[in-house]
Amino acid sequence: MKDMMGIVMADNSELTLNELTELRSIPALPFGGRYRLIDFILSNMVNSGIINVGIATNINYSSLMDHVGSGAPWDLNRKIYGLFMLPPYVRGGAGGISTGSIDQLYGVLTFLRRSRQQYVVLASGRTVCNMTFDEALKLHIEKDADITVVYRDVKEKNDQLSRSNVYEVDENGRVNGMETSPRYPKTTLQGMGMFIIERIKLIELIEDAYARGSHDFVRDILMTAVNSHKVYGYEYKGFVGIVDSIRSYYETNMKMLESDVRRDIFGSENRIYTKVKDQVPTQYGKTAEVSDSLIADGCIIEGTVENSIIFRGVHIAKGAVIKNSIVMQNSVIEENCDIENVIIDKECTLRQSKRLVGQPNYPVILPKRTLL
Amino acid sequence: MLGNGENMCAYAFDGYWKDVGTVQSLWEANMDILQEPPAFELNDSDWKIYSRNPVKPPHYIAKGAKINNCCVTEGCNVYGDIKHSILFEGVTVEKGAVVEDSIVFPGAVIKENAVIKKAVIGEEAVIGKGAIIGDENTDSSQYASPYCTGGISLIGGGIIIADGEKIGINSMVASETGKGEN
Repeated sequence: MKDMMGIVMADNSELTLNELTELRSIPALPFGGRYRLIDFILSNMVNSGIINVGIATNINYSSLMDHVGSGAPWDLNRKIYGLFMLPPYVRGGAGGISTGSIDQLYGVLTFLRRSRQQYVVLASGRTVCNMTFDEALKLHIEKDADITVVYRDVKEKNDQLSRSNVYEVDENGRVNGMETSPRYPKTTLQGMGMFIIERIKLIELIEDAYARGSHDFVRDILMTAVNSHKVYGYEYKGFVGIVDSIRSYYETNMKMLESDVRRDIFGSENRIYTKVKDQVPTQYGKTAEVSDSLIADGCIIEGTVENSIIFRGVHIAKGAVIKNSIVMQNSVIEENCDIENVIIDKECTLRQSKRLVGQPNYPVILPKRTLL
Repeated sequence: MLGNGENMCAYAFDGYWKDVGTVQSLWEANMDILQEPPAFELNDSDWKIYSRNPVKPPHYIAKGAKINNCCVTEGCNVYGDIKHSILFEGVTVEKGAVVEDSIVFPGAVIKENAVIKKAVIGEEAVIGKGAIIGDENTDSSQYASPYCTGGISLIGGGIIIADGEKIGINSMVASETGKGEN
């Protein structure tokens, strides 16, 4: 597995999560009480033995850089290889801020050329799962594939398929058809935004596509490759959460309250690593009432918390009631507030007796540093 | 020095200070953190106390769990009833179990309906179903220890307490209990 490197495509300009992604890219979104979305793909890569990872960024990547730092939490702060942030070139071939993933990949060419690994995992930074790439790579080599896509079978058609790559895969695992963001998807095989490809081949494909003025990896490379190259699919069967909307962000977070999902994601020998903050344990007061919730360190809980995800350093005062909500780092909920179906971003303060109620499938969002 | 008339000064420290050298003082120092407000404030972002960090997920408090005046950290799973206690990382408290006035070290498992009162439970220890630690009505003179005083019981690291076993107060259990073990 050492002969593999990773590239995380940290942006997708086509997707936004409104206020939540105003100041950060999707992979930098806080998740599950103490993580950010990018932790999952980075951990999956290092748990697969990958020691050379590039993060291709585009815009709003300061919170991402702050979070990954030198790569130390993933043991990627190395002398040889390690973690590389690959921001866009403002001048030169790629012409600054990219308009699609090919431009983003074009900026990565230097990194690809300088690396020596035979294979590349190319992945988006917004998939929540705990997997290694060993089996997918094995399949890629066995089938002598040009590109191997990782997918899952969602079994029933859902609205997320209409924002995903949807594959048709034959009994040998060969991909013989694909759609991207189809209105009426043909199958339920949803791409997980992960591709395995030989490094030299990826360099060739990017150069070719760029020479033709193409902009998008999926539309311009992958969709044509399905007809002209050997594209295979690897089906992943564990838990997968793909964040591409506020609703899927909220639902994937809430999935972490299910014990079998938690076991799949956090119970494995392969850990999900993240930046460590050395916070104190959470203090529960005498008036605390907590049920079915994930609570990170450094909180002070004196009120009621139900079916919610509470990030580090949150204070929930006496008489406050939080239900079906996500409260991010260092937010303060004062006495007697009543919160239901709300996503509270970092460092918000809700003064006494505020009432905020969203719908289960349409949570209210309180942007970062809101004072209410 | 004093005898030689050398200049020796005294500095009066008025912050929190505790010499932790016994099981009882270890227990007391931990309980000091649970006072409201704490006798010793650890939650100070300008003066962090750094430590090794195990990188575990946030702790989970299940439906039906009760939690009152406790300190809980990452990786714990609480399904039972915990009161005035401190749980270290990765502790599991199963359904129906009660933990009171106790300190539970990393990775320990308190099985269903077990009761822990005023105890220190060692790392990775397993307290069997329905077992009672710190039971006032049980004579456990075989586990009596000069190190355990003040009504505190101590279960050593990695010790497995058999289902239904009762351990009295002031006990120190350093080998496994129950049939076929010891």
